[in-house]
Amino acid sequence: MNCRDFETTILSMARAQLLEASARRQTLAHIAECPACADRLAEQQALTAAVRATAKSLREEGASAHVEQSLRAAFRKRMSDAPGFNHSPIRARQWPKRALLAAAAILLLFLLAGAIRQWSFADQNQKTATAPPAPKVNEIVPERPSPNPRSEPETVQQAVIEQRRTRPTVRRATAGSEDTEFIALAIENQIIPLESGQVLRVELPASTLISMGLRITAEDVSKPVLADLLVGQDGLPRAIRFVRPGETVNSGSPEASINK
Amino acid sequence: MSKTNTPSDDDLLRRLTAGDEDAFTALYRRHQGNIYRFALLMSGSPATADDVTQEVFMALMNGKHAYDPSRGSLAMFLYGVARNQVLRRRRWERVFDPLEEETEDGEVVVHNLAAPDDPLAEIIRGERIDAVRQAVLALPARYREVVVLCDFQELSYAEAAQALDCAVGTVSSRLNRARTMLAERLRALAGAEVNEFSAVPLKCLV
Repeated sequence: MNCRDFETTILSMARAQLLEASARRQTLAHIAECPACADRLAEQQALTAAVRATAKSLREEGASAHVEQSLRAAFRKRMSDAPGFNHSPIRARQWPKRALLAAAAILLLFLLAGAIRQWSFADQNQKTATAPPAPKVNEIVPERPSPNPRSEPETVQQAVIEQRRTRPTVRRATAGSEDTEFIALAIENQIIPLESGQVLRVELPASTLISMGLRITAEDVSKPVLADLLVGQDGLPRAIRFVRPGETVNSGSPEASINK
Repeated sequence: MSKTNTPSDDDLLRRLTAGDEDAFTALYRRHQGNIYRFALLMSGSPATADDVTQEVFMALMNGKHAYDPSRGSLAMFLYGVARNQVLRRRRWERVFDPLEEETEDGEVVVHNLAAPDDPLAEIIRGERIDAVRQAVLALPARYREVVVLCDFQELSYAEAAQALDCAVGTVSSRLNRARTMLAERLRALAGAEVNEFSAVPLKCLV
């Protein structure tokens, strides 16, 4: 070890810090040969002792009692000025991070929902409420159930029956009519206009026709009927039409979407 | 084996958030001594140390300087706030009543260290301790703070680096330089008196 190398270990030696055994040995060997470095180490050791003695003399020192009193009074005043006081020195720094995380999560959910929606309906054509000609009601009772019902008939049925009570202007399809258009389903307290939606092919009991004010023969009461249910962007059913068993919304798919 | 129920700093901070005065008091009592001594050694004035201590805990209470646990302990955060307060006061004191002059290489020449009503004079006994404190105060601030934190407060280099917001290597090199300057200053101020703190007879301090 030379005098330059000694500079790298003198601080640890003087402050009595842990030092690698070999480095310590080399340092001691060097100061045995170099009086200047020995003096320098002795000086630094004396300094350490002097500093520690000074620190020890200050060990019991602390702020005056009035500082604590002032701070506690300030704390109480702050509490009384702001009863809802819940400021956190930690939270003050963390809340922007949390807000960013929450915003990112919400954005991610929206993107995910959009992606799923596009994926689900990417290959489907839009279908508007101006539907193609529908069959006569007394002819739409299917001979067999829809091969591909994807909605929950019970839920839809309940929704239709519920909305029937306040059904407003309905272009009523009669058994003798050539076409059945979408029949609007009135919803109480409906404030969201229809901007987009989906058409769901559902299977309902024929008695639904009666609840909608349509006529049906006694022999058809027990048979299921197919219907297209227009569900708005808010998930509420907005209109319904009854279809013949062979009629499809789009390429055989029981669902279609519409957008304004 | 006894199990201690001493709440952590984070626990106390959470309670402080809810408006718990006892939690605030507990935090204050836990940390005020170190902050006060740091300010005292940095400024040389008990009155300034009181003021700095008060400002530090007012800042904690008001969230003026947000504490981020991911960046270090509360103690180091408080040291950092105290350091800023000391430096700010030092700038103001220079404007109105310059007590110090810096030489070209940044070393501070202290003309008057203690205020007439300095109660520290009653506490510190012996000229040798006073000499050490004078020598510390004579150091440029960037060297003084590492000596105070590492040697007087016995923080590790890493802790001091957190408090000073600098690299560990910077702390180490500054401390080395600071101690060399301190020894030179002690030689000039106290002569051989410093030797008496050590069992080692020191020709170099004579």
